Amino acid sequence: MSRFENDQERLSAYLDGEMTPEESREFEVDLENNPELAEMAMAWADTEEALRDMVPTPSKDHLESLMVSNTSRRVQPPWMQMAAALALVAFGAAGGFGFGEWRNQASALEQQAVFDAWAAHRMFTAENRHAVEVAANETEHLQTWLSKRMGREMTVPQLTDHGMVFVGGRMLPFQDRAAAQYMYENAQGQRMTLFMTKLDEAGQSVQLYDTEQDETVVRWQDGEWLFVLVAPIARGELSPIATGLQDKLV
Amino acid sequence: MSRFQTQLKDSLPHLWRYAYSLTRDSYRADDLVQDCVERALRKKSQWDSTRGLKPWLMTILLNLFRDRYRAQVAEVAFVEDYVGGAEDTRWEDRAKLREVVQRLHSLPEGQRQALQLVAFGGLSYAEVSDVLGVPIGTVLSRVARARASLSEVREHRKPELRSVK
Repeated sequence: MSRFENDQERLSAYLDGEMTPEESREFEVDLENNPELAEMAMAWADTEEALRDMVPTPSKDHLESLMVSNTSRRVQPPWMQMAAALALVAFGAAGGFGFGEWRNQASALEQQAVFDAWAAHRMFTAENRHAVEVAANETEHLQTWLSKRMGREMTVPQLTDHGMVFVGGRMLPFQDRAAAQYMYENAQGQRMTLFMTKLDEAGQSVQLYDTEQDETVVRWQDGEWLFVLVAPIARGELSPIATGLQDKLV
Repeated sequence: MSRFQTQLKDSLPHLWRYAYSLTRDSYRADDLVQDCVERALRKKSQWDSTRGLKPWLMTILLNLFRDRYRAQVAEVAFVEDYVGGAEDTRWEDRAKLREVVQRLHSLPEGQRQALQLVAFGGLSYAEVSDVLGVPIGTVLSRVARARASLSEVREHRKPELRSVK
């Protein structure tokens, strides 16, 4: 008689420390004598590891900073102050940037990068002869040059699988550092911009989507690097491309 | 420091990891935790101090998450390709990770909720039963079924296309 209905429940309870010492001992004996059970335990252990890796753990300091009372934030959230400040600097002319949902704690630098990426996209995709500084036929040179300036391997991700052909790239100034821009084009003549720059703090984020005027803007952070992808392509279509890029840019 | 404060501080890592597992984004997790702490402090008197603080906090956080993101469930679900906090994992591990992530989010809701509270929230089965309002035996069977689905060997796995630089 047991409160467990099957081996799956036993293994789960075992992993979660929900067994009595006696149940544990019994289970361990079974593990040794039953290869099938042992195999299952191994597979589950892999899953446990994946679950652990799936979620980062922030530093103690960071966590404790979240404990600070939010009362002041409610009155005037820091992001609102930040947004107000930025609106004067950058967003004024654009008539307010539409990243409505994106507020909370994106750093000012990150916000600026996303805006600059979008602005660069607008400016350079409209160009014909001067769309890029270094064209695709000089890809190798572009890679070497930008790698040096950016301090990161700048291999151009090829996206022909997604119907996107590399047009070329350029370096852009971004605050006190360099940013790189790669441009792609599809058969319909739609152009897509990948903007890359370094942030001050390492982090990790999922792909976050926004729409600004006619463009979909996707951003994600990987370590110190922020990637921003801008294209006049609907989110559903852009998503696989962004994912393809993310894979190649690791 | 009061017992409340101490327990609150001790719960933060689990609370944050749980929030991250729900939102899949650091900023959103920060936001949820911060709001959860704020609400907990405001409603401190409602906490039944004979019970642990952590399950109570998780309940608040889950409610906040539901209020805030229910309308956007589609949006949150959209980001299915995240690789979480694994910064230095090798490719094969990332592939495995992706797979587990995808499977986790296609689990039946009840199973996923139970597993998230256990695996990320660090709650015991009894505590999860409290938070979700289901019997402890149900928690056990949901967690077990969830783990089984996540660990199933995928027979017809397509070779994944990975770029070669």
